[in-house]
Amino acid sequence: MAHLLEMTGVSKAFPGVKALTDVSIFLDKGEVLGIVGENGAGKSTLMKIVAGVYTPDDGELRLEGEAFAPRQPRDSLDAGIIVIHQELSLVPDRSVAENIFLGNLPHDRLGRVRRKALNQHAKTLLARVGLDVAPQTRVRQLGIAQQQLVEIARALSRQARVIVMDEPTATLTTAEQTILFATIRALRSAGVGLVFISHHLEEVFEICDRVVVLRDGAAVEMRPTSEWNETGLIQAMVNRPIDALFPPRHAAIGDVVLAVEGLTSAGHFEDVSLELRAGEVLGLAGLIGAGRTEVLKAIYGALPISGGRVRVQSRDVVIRAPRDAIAAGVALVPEDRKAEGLVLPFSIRSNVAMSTLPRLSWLRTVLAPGRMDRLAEHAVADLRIRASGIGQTVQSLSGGNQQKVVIGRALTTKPRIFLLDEPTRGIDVGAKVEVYRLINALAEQGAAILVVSSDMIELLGLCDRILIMRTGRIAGAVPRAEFSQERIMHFAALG
Amino acid sequence: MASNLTKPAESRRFGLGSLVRAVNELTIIVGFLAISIYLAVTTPTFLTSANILSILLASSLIGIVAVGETFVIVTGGIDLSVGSVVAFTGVMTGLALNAHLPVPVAILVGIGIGALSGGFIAFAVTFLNMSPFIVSLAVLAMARGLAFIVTNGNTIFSFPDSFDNIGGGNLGPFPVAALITLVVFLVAGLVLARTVFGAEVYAVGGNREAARLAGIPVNRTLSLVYIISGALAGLGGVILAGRLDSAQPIAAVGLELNAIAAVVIGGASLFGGKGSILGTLLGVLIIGLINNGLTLKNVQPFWVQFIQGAVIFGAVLIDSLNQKRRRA
Ligand SMILES: Nc1ncnc2c1ncn2[C@@H]1O[C@H](COP(=O)(O)OP(=O)(O)OP(=O)(O)O)[C@@H](O)[C@H]1O
Ligand SMILES: [Mg+2]
Repeated sequence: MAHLLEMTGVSKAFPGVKALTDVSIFLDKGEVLGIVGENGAGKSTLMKIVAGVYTPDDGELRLEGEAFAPRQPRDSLDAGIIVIHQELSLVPDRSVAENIFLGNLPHDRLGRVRRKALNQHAKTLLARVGLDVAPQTRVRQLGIAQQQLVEIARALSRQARVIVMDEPTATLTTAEQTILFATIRALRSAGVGLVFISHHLEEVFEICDRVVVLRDGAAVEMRPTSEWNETGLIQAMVNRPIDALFPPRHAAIGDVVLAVEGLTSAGHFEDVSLELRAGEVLGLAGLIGAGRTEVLKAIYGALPISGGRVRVQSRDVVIRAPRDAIAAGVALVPEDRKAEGLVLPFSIRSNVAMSTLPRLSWLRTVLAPGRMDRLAEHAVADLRIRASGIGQTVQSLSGGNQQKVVIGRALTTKPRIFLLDEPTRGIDVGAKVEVYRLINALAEQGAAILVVSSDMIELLGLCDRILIMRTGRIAGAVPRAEFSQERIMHFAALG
Repeated sequence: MASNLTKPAESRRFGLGSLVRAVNELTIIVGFLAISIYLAVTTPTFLTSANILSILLASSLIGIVAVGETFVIVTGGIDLSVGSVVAFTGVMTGLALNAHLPVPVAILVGIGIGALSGGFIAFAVTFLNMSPFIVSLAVLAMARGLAFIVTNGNTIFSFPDSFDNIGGGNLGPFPVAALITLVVFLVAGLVLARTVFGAEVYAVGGNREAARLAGIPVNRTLSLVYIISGALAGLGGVILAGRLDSAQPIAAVGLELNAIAAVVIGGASLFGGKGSILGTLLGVLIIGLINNGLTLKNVQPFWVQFIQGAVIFGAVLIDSLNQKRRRA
């Protein structure tokens, strides 16, 4: 019997990079195929070919045995192939409901949109993905994880034969992820073929029936999940041994360097107090919408505060703008790299240099290109950014490598306090370990780190202490000795 | 030197971007040569030194204003007020001269008023969060109105010779106005491509929120570009008054469209983050050639308007097509 979707000998090159070389994979009805691989391995490129975004240089696609050559996204959609891309593509100024039905809005014979039916349908779909917002809400007001759920609801609104999810869980917390997996299982039973791309291997083991490993643009191994184990999978992905996911840290915890007292930002969070010490890694856990990102932004001066104060190195500092924060030795790695972290059409060099332009100049005025080059080359080497050179535009980097560029820039201001919002979002295992090592090294040198993450395992493995936020307030604190997933979930959900 | 100017702080050694840009600049140069050859063959007057001089003088005014507009457009903004500001600063300079202020002071009055009007736009855009399109449209009307109010609608004339030299005089074989324009282009080219401020202008236009979070002084950068644009419009007003030995409140109507067209033809994107001073120079020369050709070929003035509009439409169309392709 013919496979639902089959790709044979697919190759694709971009100027300067061979993204895919002779890749052959297949997908059957009623199964979940996992695709794993390092950043830049070619996962998203492969799926963009399925989606009709790119045409392959070589190779062919078959859909239920018939040749299939999508020339544009429309062709794939019409064939019942739905791809939820890694970089989200919602229309910010339209409502959630309109975004869900974008391109096939329900309408009457006169072409008028049937608002009521629209919102009704949207409500049902939102419930299925576990997103608790009104269908009329503008997408602009949603956080990145909520937007992710809207994308999934949109996929559910169509008659799908194939659904591809490119890192759908990167920003989801455990609760939303559980709902997503239930949805995936239901779709699988209904005979849909699903592709699931993730850097969270435990999820891959939980949900996938088969797993294929991409490395440097080639499909190196494909096996049923039961025949993989975690070490073997990592080994196949990175082709070098990785000893410990969370390397040990030997940091001496020192004085309080950041004290937040009764910080309030009307409409976002209330009365948040915390102390962060030199050498300490403090985690901030909570469900989506609990206000974690907003706390980081407020400390950084990127969100106006309506009460409370922030003390850095036991001095009162007035941080009104990100510039003030940087001057006080505070750095932020924002959650949404595309909207807040990077200038996508610019080069790696320009993006890395952006926070330290005066320092990279003569008399703080005239740019010194040599200094900019050296800074960017260091960042590329230190963080092992996979690129054809520092002149490559960041929009053509893979998602994980884009994230590394943002981290690379944060390091250039030599901060003592790091605010990291989902720092490993979309980063592969190997790179994650590098980021963890980096965090450890920074802590060992006396830096203080406040990290928001939706990945519970990451928080448990990395932090000295975890604070839990719930609906805009600090609901509890757990020291390392008492770490357990249940305790933290308990605070996050109930308080 | 020229090659330095082609390469903005954001130089792309890689990918489609550089290809599109290279093609664009080549297209501009080819277009420029094609129009020149066509005019040289079909009209007897095109290659006369008087005609070339007149192209250079007309291009000086558009050029100076287009330089300021380039800064604004690279930040993703727009300044529609420049034509009116040229007229208003021109008559104010004229009034200052007729009040027997020394020539340098009168010149500073013109440039200063231009900078002030840019500062007003900057204030509305940064502090009041208003759209540059609407604010500069309002300033377009206000400045034009003020130019009529202060002159009662009359032309102001009979300026000292030392002043008229700025617009119409020569230094050796070169017109002074063209030399000033050249200096403006050189300085602006260096500032945009080679300074911290220039890099900040690109960053703000490329992604304002990312620039803010990276610690770039977004409001200061935005303010400065509008002030630069206003001050250069002031300089344009001074030069125009000098060239005509008079200042009229109806001067330079529609100049902003020529300037914006030149910037966009030069490869800048109205979406921000992209553009260069060398590109603008080429754009200005193309616009100058087109305007000159329309005159030489005796095209009816109504058609001139229409054709200029069509040129702008074409340039902006190419810009948004490029943008779409980049999104895909
Ligand atoms: N439009 C493009 N232009 C140039 N190079 C590209 C383009 N898109 C992808 N690439 C390159 O192709 C390679 C594969 O990228 P891809 O996005 O498929 O990786 P990925 O496996 O999805 O990585 P990640 O886990 O980081 O998302 C990378 O080296 C990337 O830089
Ligand atoms: Mg990817």
